[in-house]
Amino acid sequence: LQLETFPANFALIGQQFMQAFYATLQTNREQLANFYYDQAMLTYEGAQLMGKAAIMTKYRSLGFQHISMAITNADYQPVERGVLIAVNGQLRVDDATQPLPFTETFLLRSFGQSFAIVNHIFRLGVHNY
Amino acid sequence: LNPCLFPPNFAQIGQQFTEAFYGTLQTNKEQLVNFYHDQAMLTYEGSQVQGKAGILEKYKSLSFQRIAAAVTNADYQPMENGVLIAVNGQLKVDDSPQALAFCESFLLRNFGGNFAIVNHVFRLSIHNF
Repeated sequence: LQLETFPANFALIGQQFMQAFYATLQTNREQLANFYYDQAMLTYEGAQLMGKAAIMTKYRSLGFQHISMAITNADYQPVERGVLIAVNGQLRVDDATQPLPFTETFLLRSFGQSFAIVNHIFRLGVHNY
Repeated sequence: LNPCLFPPNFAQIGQQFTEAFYGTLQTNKEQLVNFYHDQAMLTYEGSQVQGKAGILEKYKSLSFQRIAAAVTNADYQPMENGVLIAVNGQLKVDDSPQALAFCESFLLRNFGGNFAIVNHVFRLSIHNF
C-alpha cells in the first residue's frame, strides 16, 4: 500500500467535492457529467452503468424535476491517489411530502491536478425486515 | 486509470467477502481484524481509527454481546487491484426489539492474491429531518 500517495488534504477535497456535486445535482444535473472520469462506473439502485455517456443517460432518465438533498453524514478517507467518500442523507423529489433516506459511496481519483469520480454507488435506504 | 488491473471476478470476490465478514461479525467479532490490511482505516460512526491494533480495540470496545445483521443490498464495483463494496442493511443487538438501519463501504485491495480491507466506513442510518 503506497501511503505516500494518499492526499494529505483528503478531507478538504472531499468537502469541496460534496458541496459542488450536490449543488449541481439540485440546480443543473446535466452538468454532473463534469464530475465523472470518462470510464467511471455508476451503480444506481442496482443498475450498473459504465462510462460518462451511459451515466448521463441515466441522470436524464430520472423522472423528477426538482430534488432536494439533506446530508446527514459524509465520511472521508484517503486512498492511493484519491479519496473515498461515504454519504448518508435524505432526499425529497418534486412535491413528495415524505423524505427518503439514501446512501452513496464515491471514489475520487486524482488526474493531474483535479479529482474525478471513478466509482459511484447510489442506493435508497429501503429495508424490509 | 488502467482497466486491465480490474479484477474480472470482482462480484464473486465481493460476495465471498461479504458472507465471510458478516458471518464473523455475528459469531466472533474479534476475528474481524484478520480481514484488514495492517494500515487499514476504519471510520466507525465518525470516529477514525488507523491500523489493525486500533481497529481491534474498536471492535473490543463495542458493548453488545450478540449482533444479528441482515444485508438488504450489497453493490460491488471493480477498481485497480481491488473491489469497492457498498452495503445497506439492518442490525439488531442483544435483546433489542428494534432493527437499526446501517450502511457501510469497504475498499478491498489485492495483496499477492489475497484481498484485504484497506478502507472501511460504518454508519447507522439515523436522520433528523
